[in-house]
Amino acid sequence: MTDWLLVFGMMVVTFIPRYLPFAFVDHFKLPPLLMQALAYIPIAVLSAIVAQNVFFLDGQLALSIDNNRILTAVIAVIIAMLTRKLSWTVVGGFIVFLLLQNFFPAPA
Amino acid sequence: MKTFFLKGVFDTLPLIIAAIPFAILYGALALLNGMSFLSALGMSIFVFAGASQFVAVTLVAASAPILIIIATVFVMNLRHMLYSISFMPKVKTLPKWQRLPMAFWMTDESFAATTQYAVKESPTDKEFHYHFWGSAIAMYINWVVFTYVGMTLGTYIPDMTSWGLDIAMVLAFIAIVVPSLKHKAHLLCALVAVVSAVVTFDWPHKTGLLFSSIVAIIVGVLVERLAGDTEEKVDGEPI
Repeated sequence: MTDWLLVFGMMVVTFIPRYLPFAFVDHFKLPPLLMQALAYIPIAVLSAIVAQNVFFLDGQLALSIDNNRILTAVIAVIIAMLTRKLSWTVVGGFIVFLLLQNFFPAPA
Repeated sequence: MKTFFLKGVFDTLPLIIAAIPFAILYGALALLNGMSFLSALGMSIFVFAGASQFVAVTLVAASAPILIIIATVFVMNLRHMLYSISFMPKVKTLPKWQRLPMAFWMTDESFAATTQYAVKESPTDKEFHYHFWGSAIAMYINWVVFTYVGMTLGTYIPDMTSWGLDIAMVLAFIAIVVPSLKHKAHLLCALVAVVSAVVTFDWPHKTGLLFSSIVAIIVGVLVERLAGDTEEKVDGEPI
């Protein structure tokens, strides 16, 4: 029961921010400044998510060579710069990560 | 229009593949953390928000009060409002009833795939919509199916949750961001987002994420304005 209450509550709070701007589409024109800001939205949001997922392990800042996520991310950035391909970056990065985890597991 | 639907599916494939380990991990964690089978699957069907579902089941395991979990998810999802704002010019020509599913299916991945497509190929509104439907429906089916796979696998290999497979999502986001860094302003925006996200990591309920995004967007716009006419309009109109 509580599980479904959680699902329902999450459904509502997930849907509202996704829908709200669409509700105003017919009534209002985007100011030029906001139009200019649009191009920065994915860059800003995704970079922030990446940083919080790469530099932290179990909620602790982990700026060390033992953190395989950092090296994986650096290599992924390089692959992305060279190939500009989603597929190469994702697959190549994942292989690098699995190899690192296998040969240099994080010290317990 | 079928071509554009299929192109949407195709353009999103690498992101769909990256979402698979993430979905499996969510499914496994949800059950291990004490959610019932149906509600864990129901969350993927009715909520459809990868990172939020992840955080939610982590909080379930920590026995956080349900209202706190919902509030946290709300704050995390505010970034999707930025995505929908950016779709506004294209949604004007979309029939009202179709705006509901478009909003429901708005994810980091489909937003990124269709935005990149729009920047590259300047499609008509209708082509844009079909591209998004292809991308979103493929993401959705994939997410639900692999949640189920994860719930099944997780009962056999509970150890799986400690392998760090969620790195796949990080790689997908890197793959989206890096090729879109075309000017100094873009690069600065990304750097500010990274540094700020690290500094504000401890803020309650993931509020640092939204704060960092907004600061980085402001910095990007300011730098673009200060850089003056030379750099303006280089990449055309956004979407």
